[in-house]
Amino acid sequence: MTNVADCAVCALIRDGAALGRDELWRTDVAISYVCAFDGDSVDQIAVAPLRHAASPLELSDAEFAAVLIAVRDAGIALTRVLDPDGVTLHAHVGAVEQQAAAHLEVLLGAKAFGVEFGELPREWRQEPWVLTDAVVAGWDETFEQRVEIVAKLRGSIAALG
Amino acid sequence: MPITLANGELCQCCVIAAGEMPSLTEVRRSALTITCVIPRQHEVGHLIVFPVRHVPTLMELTNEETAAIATETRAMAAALQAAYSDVEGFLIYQNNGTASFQEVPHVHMHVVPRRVGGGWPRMRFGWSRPAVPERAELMARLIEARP
Repeated sequence: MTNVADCAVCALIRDGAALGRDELWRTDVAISYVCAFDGDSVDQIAVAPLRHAASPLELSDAEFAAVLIAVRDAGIALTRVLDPDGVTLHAHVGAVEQQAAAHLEVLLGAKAFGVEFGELPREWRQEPWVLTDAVVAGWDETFEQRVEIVAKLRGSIAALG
Repeated sequence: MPITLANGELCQCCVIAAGEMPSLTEVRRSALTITCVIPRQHEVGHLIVFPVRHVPTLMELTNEETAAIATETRAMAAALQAAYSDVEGFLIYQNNGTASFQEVPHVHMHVVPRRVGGGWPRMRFGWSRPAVPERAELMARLIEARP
């Protein structure tokens, strides 16, 4: 558990605005707000749990579900207002991911065609069978390595109950 | 204009959901979700969670489906942390539309375990510059458009 006293999102929840974050609305579980995190970004929407938690793992299933439902609703509002070509959801968890606040934030960014980063051609056709066994080797991992990963995950799921 | 989606005769997620080409890299499924380890392992353990029903984007999910994806995403983060002692964080992302690099037109949540020294740099989002009004106007319009 991280420190509530230094948390910018907890300050937003308490005061309605903090460090470039301005509240839109809140539910019993989550707050939605507008923010921008660096000079290259336009305003985005973020959704955070009202209870201080740095990671989905510090929330209950019901809390994280309520957060994601709030994210979906924010996405609906974003598409109604900006009519974007796309919408990107992202949540960075942990110092290794350079998490901006010590509080889980799920970000939604509107996307437009015509920038070099992070888009496919407008007429993109999905790769055939990219998820299935027909693909025997991926980008970095072989098919056999992926099967090993699945076995490892199934083992940990069983151990966690 | 609606969000532009990838073309394709068959939806790969639906093919897996229907069991027409079962994937050995499927981790598990429930009545509402399926979880698979994907070929493009940005970091070892990179997986996706998607709804059984064909739903193109996040915005079209029901409450029940959204909750099920959230629960499974959380469970998979815990499973990854238990499976790999070097996992120190996560990138959770989900793209809607080819403008956001959505390759498969069936909503899917990526869960990527992150490690110190991992080969994949932190992804930057929000570079796109759609015509966004000033914040006060944007906020007023968003509040009016809230479902």
